[in-house]
Amino acid sequence: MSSADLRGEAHKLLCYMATSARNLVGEPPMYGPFRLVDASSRLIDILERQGVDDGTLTEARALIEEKKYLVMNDEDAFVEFLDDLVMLLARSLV
Amino acid sequence: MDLFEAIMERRSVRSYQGRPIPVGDLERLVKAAHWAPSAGNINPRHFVTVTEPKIVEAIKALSPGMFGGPVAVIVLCSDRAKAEKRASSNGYIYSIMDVSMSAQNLLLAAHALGIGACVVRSFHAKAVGSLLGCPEHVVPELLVALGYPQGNLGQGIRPPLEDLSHNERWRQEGSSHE
Ligand SMILES: Cc1cc2nc3c(=O)[nH]c(=O)nc-3n(C[C@H](O)[C@H](O)[C@H](O)COP(=O)(O)O)c2cc1C
Repeated sequence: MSSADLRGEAHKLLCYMATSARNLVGEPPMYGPFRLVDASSRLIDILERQGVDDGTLTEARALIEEKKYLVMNDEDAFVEFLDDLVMLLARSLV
Repeated sequence: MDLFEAIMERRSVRSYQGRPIPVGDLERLVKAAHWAPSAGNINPRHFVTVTEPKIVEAIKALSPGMFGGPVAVIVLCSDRAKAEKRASSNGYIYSIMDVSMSAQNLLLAAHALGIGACVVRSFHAKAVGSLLGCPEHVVPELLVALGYPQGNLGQGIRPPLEDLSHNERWRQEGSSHE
């Protein structure tokens, strides 16, 4: 990915994050964690296209994409998924 | 397609194939939206159809509630000035209700054509309005993301209807339904 492409991708992610911040002022509280994990998934996309290929990050993104919509139907299961995601990421910290 | 079947089968679609939607079908969707009921028959609605990938991408960047890669977005707008002129303080609520009615028509029409759709309210109305060049009194109220569905449609979960439906008068907790 060229640096212009990277800038474009980062710009879109920043728009997404800033709009999320603004809109969360009036949205259901659970949308906060939902937007944060969705942003994490989008960041992993960018890193992957940038050539940062990492098994843990790819696994984390797959988990996010599989479970993120639980927020709409089953909040307890959504919170459980958040715990699983943190544990998955924490395992490869050191 | 039977209308009742369509109502029960329709699901929000958040994952799309890249295949474009024929212009004629997009026009049919807008027509379905246009023919929804309108409070006081004021018709403050406008519909902006966007298919240019760069603009779709830009709308998506300003819409945290939009997922996947839709190939088209129909922006349902209300002319707030027109609504307020004709319905004074009710103008705002009328326009929101009108747009909602249009959106449901559009969703069902899309489903009948095999097109996946998701309404999106989580977006920045001012930024999207400015991106599309809407005049200040015309406000984007709801987006409909569109594309042919990728993968299975969602499950469609609702609370039990018995808990929410009442006959003749409000049913008290603990009393029998009938
Ligand atoms: C006014 C309104 C706004 C909505 N906004 C969003 C949104 O921003 N993003 C999204 O993915 N879904 C949005 N939805 C879709 C709902 O999440 C969806 O209809 C609900 O979960 C039920 O699922 P179903 O449509 O598949 O039956 C919205 C629905 C309505 C009625």
